[in-house]
Amino acid sequence: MANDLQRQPANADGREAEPALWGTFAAVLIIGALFVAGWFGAFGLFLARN
Amino acid sequence: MHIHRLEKIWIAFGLVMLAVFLTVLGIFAFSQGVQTPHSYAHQGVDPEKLSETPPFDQPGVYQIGENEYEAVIVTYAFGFNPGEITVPAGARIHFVVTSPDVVHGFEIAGTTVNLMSIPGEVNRVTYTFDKPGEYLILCNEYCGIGHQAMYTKLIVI
Repeated sequence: MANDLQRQPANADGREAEPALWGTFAAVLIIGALFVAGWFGAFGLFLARN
Repeated sequence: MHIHRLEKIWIAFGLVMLAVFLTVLGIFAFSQGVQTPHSYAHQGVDPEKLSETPPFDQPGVYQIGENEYEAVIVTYAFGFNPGEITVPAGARIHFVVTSPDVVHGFEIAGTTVNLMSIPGEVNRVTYTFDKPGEYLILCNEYCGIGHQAMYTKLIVI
């Protein structure tokens, strides 16, 4: 019983299933968008004050 | 080694982001003629003898052209010499800055003038003040007990 908690769910052919990462992907894309926005925001401030 | 398909996409996104940033900065810097200070132009001064070393023996703002000035500034604990500076709008000012005691900062808020004033070193920056107003000049490098009171202003009329 304890073993069931530690083993990855198995496919029909016995291999482990790939982890479902779509939520993670969406989250990191949002963070990436913040990076890009912050970078261009700072660059824009620099250009405006130059 | 197996890498998840979405992880590959994310890594690619990161690398592209880095490439875009470096390219934008590179083209901008090249077009603006930005360079590192030339070693052959390095000017060292003796911080203990500033009062005998031109131009720091006479700090102040000097007109060198049509609406063009050289501002020789000595930052000290805890103030700036000269104190308040007043220039007409459109003035192009070449700042020449050093310190006789400790490291200070020299920042003009709202502009791209932001440099370190280091004993023994001369730092320079040029800026054109198109917009009239009062600009805060502040020390942004901790320099001692009076650091928070070390500020003055530059007035553009």
